[in-house]
Amino acid sequence: MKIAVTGGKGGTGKSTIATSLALVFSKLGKNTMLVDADVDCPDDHLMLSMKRKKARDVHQPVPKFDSRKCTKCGKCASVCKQNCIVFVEGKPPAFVPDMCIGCKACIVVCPSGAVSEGRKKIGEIYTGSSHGIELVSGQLGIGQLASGEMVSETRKFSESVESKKSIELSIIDSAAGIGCPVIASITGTNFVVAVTEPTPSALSDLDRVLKVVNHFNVPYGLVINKYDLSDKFGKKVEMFARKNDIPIIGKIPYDKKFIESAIKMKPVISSSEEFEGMFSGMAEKINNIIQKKK
Amino acid sequence: MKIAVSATGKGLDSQVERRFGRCPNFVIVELDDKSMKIKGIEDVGNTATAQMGGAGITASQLVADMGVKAVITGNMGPRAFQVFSQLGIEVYQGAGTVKEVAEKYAKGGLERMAEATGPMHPGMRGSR
Repeated sequence: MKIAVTGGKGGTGKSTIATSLALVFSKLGKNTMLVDADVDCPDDHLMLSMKRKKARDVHQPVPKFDSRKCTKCGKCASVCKQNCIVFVEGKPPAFVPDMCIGCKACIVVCPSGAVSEGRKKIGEIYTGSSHGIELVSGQLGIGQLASGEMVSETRKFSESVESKKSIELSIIDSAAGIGCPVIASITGTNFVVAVTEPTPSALSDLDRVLKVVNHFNVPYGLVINKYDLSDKFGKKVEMFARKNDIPIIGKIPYDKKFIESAIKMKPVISSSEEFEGMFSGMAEKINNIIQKKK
Repeated sequence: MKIAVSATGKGLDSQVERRFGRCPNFVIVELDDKSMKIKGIEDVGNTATAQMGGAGITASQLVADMGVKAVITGNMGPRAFQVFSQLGIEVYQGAGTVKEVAEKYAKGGLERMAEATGPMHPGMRGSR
């Protein structure tokens, strides 16, 4: 079973909730893995005081040019949407790899077979374990553009770990936003936990990310984090949920313990039994919804 | 032979612009193959100045299409530098007026750049 945690807006508490859910599911007896798919800024390991170990590099295809076979036609440069191939009459093309996103159009279009598939490194995958859960964490190289591809590779790798370590449940912690890396985090999951907070920007971003989730036809539920920051807007978020028939899985109060735990790099559920109970309740609700949909 | 100089304006009396990819204008200077004297010039406006990213690549395409043998500029980022080294176009560092650096180049008095002299996007930073 796979559960993605997303939400649209940044800072709503996705990582805190993903980490806490992974821990309570593990305590409830499920062999659980946390997949940190926020490849731009992965830091789930920091919430668990976990030392990650590098498992492997991730590469992306880039063209390799054979100047002996090149007929200097310039077709490769004309199809490059990233504008990273420069062609000048009478010379083999010049190529700037860091702008390349690996679409392979240049390889396909070359009439003389002078362009073949090479690769460049775009990031790294790390693994770790602590508090009874396994972690797979993807990390995009600085300046690299292919964040969606990096998430897909992280998930592919996590699936190989799943079968090796007989993992029953994976929690995928997505990045903020609604773009490629989020889409790559949501696709192929059994349930999406959308984390929001009672602010206008969070509600607007939630609305947008749920449109993406709807497209993939994955069932979802809402967690309203810091719900007591604004009574008025908190009610607005609840009304939004009722109107759209979205189950509310949990409401989390604003509490400094969350911040203190983050600074101490300790899971928030170990700071109080009340929190552990709260997250266990959410885990049960998620379980029930998934069972009903089956 | 032709050389390209990144310039703050048009003509031989304009200054060499420190930035390559986002300079306002390229002065293409034609040197006599034998005497190495300035035979003529052509101003080519840089279409990459306002580009979000990859200005160095667009500018290098523009300059390379002019069939130049060498480029003179203040600084050059890694992408443009990669393009010129792959195309076999030499890059020189120079300061002063376009005329001064062109004449210096003709006498072999300019220093050739061995590597990129700046990071990416130097022309986009707020303060200079």
